[in-house]
Amino acid sequence: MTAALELSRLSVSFPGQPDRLRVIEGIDLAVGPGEVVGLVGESGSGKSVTALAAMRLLPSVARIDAGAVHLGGRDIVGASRQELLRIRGAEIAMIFQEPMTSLNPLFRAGFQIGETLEVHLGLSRAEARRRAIELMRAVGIPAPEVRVDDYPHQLSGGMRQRVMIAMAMACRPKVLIADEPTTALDVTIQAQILQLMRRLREESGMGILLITHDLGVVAGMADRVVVMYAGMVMEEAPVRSLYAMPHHPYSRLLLKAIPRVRERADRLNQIAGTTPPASRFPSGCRFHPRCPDAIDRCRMELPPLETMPDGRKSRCWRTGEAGLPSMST
Amino acid sequence: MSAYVVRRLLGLLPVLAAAIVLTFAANQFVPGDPVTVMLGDQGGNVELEQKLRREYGLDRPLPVQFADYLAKLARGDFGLSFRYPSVPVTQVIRDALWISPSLAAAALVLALPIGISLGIVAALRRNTLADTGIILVLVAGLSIPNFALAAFFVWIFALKLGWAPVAGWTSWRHAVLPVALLAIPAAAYLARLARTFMLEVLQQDYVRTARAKGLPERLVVWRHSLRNVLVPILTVCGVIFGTLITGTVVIETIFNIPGLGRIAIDSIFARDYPVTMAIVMLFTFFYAIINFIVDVLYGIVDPRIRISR
Amino acid sequence: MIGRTAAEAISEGSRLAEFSRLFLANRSAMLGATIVLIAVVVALLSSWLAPTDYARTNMLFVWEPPGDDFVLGTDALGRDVFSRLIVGARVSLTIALSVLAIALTVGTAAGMAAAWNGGWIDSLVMRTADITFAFPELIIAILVAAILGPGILTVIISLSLVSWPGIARIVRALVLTLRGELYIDAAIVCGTPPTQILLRHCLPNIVPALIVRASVGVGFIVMAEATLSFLGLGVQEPLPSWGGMIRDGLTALRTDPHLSLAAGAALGTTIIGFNLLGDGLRDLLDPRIRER
Repeated sequence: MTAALELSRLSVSFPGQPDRLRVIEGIDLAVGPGEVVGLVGESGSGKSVTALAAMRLLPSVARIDAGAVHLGGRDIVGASRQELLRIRGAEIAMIFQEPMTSLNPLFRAGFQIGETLEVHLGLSRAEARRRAIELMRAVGIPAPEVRVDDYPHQLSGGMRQRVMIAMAMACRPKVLIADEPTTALDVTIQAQILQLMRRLREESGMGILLITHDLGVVAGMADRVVVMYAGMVMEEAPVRSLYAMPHHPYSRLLLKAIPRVRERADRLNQIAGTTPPASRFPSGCRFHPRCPDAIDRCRMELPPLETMPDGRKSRCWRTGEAGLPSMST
Repeated sequence: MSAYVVRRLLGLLPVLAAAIVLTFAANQFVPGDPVTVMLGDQGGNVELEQKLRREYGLDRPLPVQFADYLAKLARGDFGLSFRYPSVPVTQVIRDALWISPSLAAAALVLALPIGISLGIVAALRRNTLADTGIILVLVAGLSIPNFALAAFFVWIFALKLGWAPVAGWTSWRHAVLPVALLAIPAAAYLARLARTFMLEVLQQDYVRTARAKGLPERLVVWRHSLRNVLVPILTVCGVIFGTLITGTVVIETIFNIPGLGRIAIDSIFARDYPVTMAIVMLFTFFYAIINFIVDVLYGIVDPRIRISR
Repeated sequence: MIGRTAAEAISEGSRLAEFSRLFLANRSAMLGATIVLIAVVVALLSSWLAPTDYARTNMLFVWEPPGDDFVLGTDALGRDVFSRLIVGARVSLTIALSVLAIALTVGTAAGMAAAWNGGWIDSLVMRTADITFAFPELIIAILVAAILGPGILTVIISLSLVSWPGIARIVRALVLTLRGELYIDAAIVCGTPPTQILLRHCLPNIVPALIVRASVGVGFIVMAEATLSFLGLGVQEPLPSWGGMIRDGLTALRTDPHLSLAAGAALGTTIIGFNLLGDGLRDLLDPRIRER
């Protein structure tokens, strides 16, 4: 089975002083048909750059230095502008964090959904509008015949995100990239949107790359999790086994940082320090300055992303050792 | 929408009220007694002086004079000119009334498409040589005053090349240089704004959404971005029109065009205060009206304003 | 005031270094700074630089073309155009500086009073500003000229009248945001009198914004002064002004264009200089723009 979306050894750089800055380095990541892959990391870890690179939507100053983006088996890194226009919105679609600003305030919701259909399927304005109403009904917008003519500012945040999802689903893409789709929403609305995405995944069989910093969202949605730190993949594992036993110290600390209902929350567990900017990525393992388990080797040599016997992957010299400081609670 | 229009219309009142009070007050502060000015060498003629005072309503208490001023304004009566005794101000300015607004409107119509497309081209070619070149031209266009540029234009286009008449107001060809000179700073200003707004809009999430949908660049720019650029541009059109209409004061003086602007300047030097004040009122009125129209258009273009408020 | 720590002082110093580096790298801002510097030096040294007395008429050399005797020729009264241009720089910049000083003082005071006191003072200041904005600038100048008669005072008063409200608005907005800061609360709690809080704690924080505003505004003031002088409402003879020189030259444009064109070039270049400098400073000092 070929993956719906596969990034291999993908590296992206931005202009910097004095040299270009590698913001993501050798990313490997695959999303199978009907699979939900969670891409997790703190802000600044390169999640969004990875997503935009997969869409080939990076700003013009950014450059893909190496690697490939396979969409349905074909590499789109070398694709022409025309090919990309055909692919975007049709084979791969994306929804964003801010449904508030992601819709154009001057156009009606239905028009913005239908526009995709006009461009990709050549539908007439009237047909596109009819299909937009159907799509709005499918994503659970009440009274779509009325809402189709609403402007974005007349819709609530949850409704706007539903419109975004309807827009993304319009041409039945094989892959949906959801960049923090629920972060800007209320908790109850969050649950509804995730529910909707689960349902659509089952109905359409599309693969979803779910980007989030919220491990709770990942736990409820994803089949597999990829943990990113400082522009690199640190660990990859099925969601259950990762939560049961994280291999990488960074994953362990991330999981510890989730506040639990039953714990007495005297203080929130935080990971000491902050993600370094791309201009100051450390040598050796990029996580070593914040890692409680770091040894001399970590400071000198970058560990490879190694595949364990159980198929999981981890980028740490000390994976498999027992009794590390990061394991204690 | 109609409630919005009514509220905008009510918003004009304080400005017009301020203009009325200010011009009336200014009339009280102007140096010298207008009647004495009018009398000139007939200074000793008491009978004529009293007749003039009565005719100009200057013998009554101030509040009465103000009420009278208001009542007359309501009827479109600006009183009598000082320079041309017993001639109503309206007659002095009647023929000139539409020249300044027409010149300003023509310049705005010329400046809008040129300025906006220049700004958008610069934004799309950001940080290239073309962008830098356009920016420098824009700074020059904004910086060089009308009348300085007029000297160069008249010298080159009228005197050296003979493409346009030097001055006067008898055919449409007389409007070419004046309108062009008015339009240049306006176009430069518009282009600068369009460039800034376009750069801002291109960073917006909804433009990224449009790209993610696979829309061709043509639709991303001319459908999703341009409309969002036009909305803020529209709001400054009122200010630009105001600058243009006052710019006609200078341009009319240079090209000897018998518009309100030139009459205003002439009347200041002739101490013909009623004419000056009438023109100040009219300019303020034009300015307020155009801002009102802009506000209404703004409501039409931007659904957020049209519907929610 | 709390003493600055060494670290803060260092970061302040490196910020200045960073600012200079960025400014020097901004070519158009440097061009503007050079033009402004030349204009200022010419204005300051005008008495020494001018080859002849700007007011000395000479009926034997009327409308001389540019040449060996008169670098830029003479005008209708035989006065040396070059000397008048140089003194015109002094006149123009002096007026601009006066307007700027008045507008900054009045605008800052009004904006601070409005922000700090709120209530009717705030309403009064802001409504006055609104109404001033509702009048086109030149119209206000015409009103003032009608009352006071043409002259330098008319220029200074009318341009100050139209310039202060913009500054008051900015200052008010900045002080309102500063009021939310912890150190302002601390100063209030300590019983520091309001004027002292405003001058010692608020003023330093709004100075960069005022510098930007002022530098962007100088070009406008120079242009407005020239416009009024061109119309005959501003600087009066025999004192030279670039605007007035352009007007004097227009009548003889066909035969002797040198007067209008020389004055026009001086005026245009100076305003371009101020605007380039102002834009450069704004790009560097306005944090909102710098982010992008």
